[in-house]
Amino acid sequence: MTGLLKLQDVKMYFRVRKGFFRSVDVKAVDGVSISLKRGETLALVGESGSGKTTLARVSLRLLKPTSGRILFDGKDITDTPEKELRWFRRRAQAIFQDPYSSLDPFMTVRQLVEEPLILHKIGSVSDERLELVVRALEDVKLTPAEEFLGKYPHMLSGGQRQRVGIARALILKPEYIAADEPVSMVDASSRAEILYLMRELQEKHDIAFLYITHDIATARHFSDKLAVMHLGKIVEFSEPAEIVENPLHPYTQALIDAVPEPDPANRFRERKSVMGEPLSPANPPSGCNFHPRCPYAMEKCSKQTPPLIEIKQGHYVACHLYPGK
Amino acid sequence: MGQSNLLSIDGLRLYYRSARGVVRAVDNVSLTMRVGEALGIVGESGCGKSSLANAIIKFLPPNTELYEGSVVIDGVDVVKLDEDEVRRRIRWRVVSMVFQGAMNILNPVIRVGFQVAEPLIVHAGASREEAFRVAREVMRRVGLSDDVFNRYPHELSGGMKQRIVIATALIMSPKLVILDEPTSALDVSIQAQIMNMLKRLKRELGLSMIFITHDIALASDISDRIAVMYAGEVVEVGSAEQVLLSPHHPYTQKLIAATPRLRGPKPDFVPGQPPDLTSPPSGCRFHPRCPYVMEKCRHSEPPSIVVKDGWSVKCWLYAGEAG
Ligand SMILES: Nc1ncnc2c1ncn2[C@@H]1O[C@H](COP(=O)(O)OP(=O)(O)OP(=O)(O)O)[C@@H](O)[C@H]1O
Ligand SMILES: Nc1ncnc2c1ncn2[C@@H]1O[C@H](COP(=O)(O)OP(=O)(O)OP(=O)(O)O)[C@@H](O)[C@H]1O
Ligand code: SF4
Ligand code: SF4
Ligand SMILES: [Mg+2]
Ligand SMILES: [Mg+2]
Repeated sequence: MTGLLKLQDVKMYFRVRKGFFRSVDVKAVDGVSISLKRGETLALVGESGSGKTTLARVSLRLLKPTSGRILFDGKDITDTPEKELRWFRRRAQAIFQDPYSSLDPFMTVRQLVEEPLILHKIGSVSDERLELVVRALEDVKLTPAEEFLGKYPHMLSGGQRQRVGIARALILKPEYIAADEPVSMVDASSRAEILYLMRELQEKHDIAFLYITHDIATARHFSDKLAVMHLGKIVEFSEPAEIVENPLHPYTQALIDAVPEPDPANRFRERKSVMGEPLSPANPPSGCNFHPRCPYAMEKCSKQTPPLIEIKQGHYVACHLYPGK
Repeated sequence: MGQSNLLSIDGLRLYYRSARGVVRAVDNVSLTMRVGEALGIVGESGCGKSSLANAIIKFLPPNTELYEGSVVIDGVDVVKLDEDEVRRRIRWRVVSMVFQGAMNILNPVIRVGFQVAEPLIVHAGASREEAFRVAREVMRRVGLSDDVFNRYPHELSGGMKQRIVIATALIMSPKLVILDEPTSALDVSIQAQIMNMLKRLKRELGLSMIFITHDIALASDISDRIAVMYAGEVVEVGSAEQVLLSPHHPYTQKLIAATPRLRGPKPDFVPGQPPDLTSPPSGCRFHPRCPYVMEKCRHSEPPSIVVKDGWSVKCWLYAGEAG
């Protein structure tokens, strides 16, 4: 596995107006560094508003970061003008959360999956493209493909629609796919099926995946590396098994405690959860931005921002409870 | 246990007309519920959970093709009442409902406290002062501070909006509250807070509730009993212990195995596609997706087999064992 995508100290601030004269910076992503190798899945886990989608959009250069660098296959694409990005647009793809709204309801499955080919001028004749479409549908197990070609999105189940979304992303043979909550709208009982499929395709085509989710339980099973994001920052990073067995950051611990498992004893006890409401990136707390919700907050937590440091081999955490070596 | 039945549903059907044919959304459902109990209803998207909830309060769309059976709540059969009587006697005061996605349809230009109080003014003829007083009290019960009363929906987080919707359902002290996917749009930590709040209400007020979700793990967080729905039918119902610890129906087994657990094996899934309710599969409706399918499953409908008192399963695998 070799390095493919690198984000270096990326910040993405959105300037939003507040009243007539004032504007504030929403620090959606605030100093994040990640790297992804070919064939590897990095899960990005965090609550709503933590900046996951924004980070994915930056990684696809759909947004130009406020600061920091984006490197893809060794090339710095942070400021590359759009017209010089065609090669990148082909090699990096996205899968979106909502299969209902991300597919044009008036296009057939064939048209939907074929569209990226036309946009990128691949396959000169229709027959050539049809063959690629059929192969992509077979890849995502929409078989027999002939049966699906003429269908419209409303004729498909949630899981089937998401497969169409995956086929669309896959048909250009990308090396990197950012999958933003790809199964959160899919039925709970079919989620694993889609995730297994993505895993299989990844191995087959050696694709690097950014798997964005708020569900740490699926992240545990379907990723190679796991990053926990809170209010624009990565607060913990390691291998998924290590994070689940040995979570260090209080926020990670709370996320883990909050996951329900099907246990009839649950109803007799309170579920643990993070205190209070999620905080706002428009007005992030000082120091460790988790401190207003942290059960272990100390004096210095509101004053100093803890850096992300390696506490154990391959296990990074940003918290003053772990002063490092 | 000496507790009386709050609700008994028998042979309930709700079919819709559609361009593709008649949708058999609720098909011969029978269930009972005791006072103070939480009944979880779980099943995949489109299996008829919301339709069952609507059938219980006789909230029927204009394209209803068939509505029959009985729903006896508090001694009254809702199916037999006319719309006016249901409105006067049942909804809000006996059974209230938190509709799926309700937090997104709060009126944006009305202060949330007024929205909570409204049913009391409209349906019980309470004075504004009295209704506001009760609304403040109920809002406190669901964990909202007093200053929330005068805010507008856009000034609230998702979790707070969901609490508002729940407060509204509680305002007339109903005997039964139906909650349709009340937390599915929320983050796990907020979801956990709302579930803890519901548990407290159940404990402190003895509130009976029907909790609808496609997530069986979430159902286990509150349910005393669980009913598993598949393609318009209840395929297994029993206590939380029975259904979760020794699931009998192959679909229940798959649903439980499909839950991603932090520790433990990788999740399984239910293979194949959900059936079309305009032409559900013959015999056992689950047969095209069932790992144990037998010849007779394809053409004859399995009976509901009582495993133990209060625990039944609709599957041929258990037809020989029934006592
Ligand atoms: N274009 C924008 N302008 C202003 N603020 C924005 C913009 N895009 C995102 N934000 C804000 O940045 C923060 C992070 O948003 P983002 O969508 O990245 O979070 P997320 O982790 O993907 O959340 P979710 O789980 O809800 O999808 C939020 O507070 C959001 O409101
Ligand atoms: N008014 C209606 N007219 C026609 N068909 C309907 C109507 N309402 C629901 N249906 C159909 O009835 C079936 C059951 O729908 P219902 O909404 O009860 O399912 P559900 O279990 O609540 O699903 P979800 O988990 O997605 O909320 C589905 O096939 C749905 O498309
Ligand atoms: S730095 Fe302090 S406030 Fe932040 S997570 Fe660690 S202990 Fe809690
Ligand atoms: S009746 Fe047959 S097909 Fe249906 S669940 Fe039982 S074994 Fe499976
Ligand atoms: Mg997002
Ligand atoms: Mg529903």
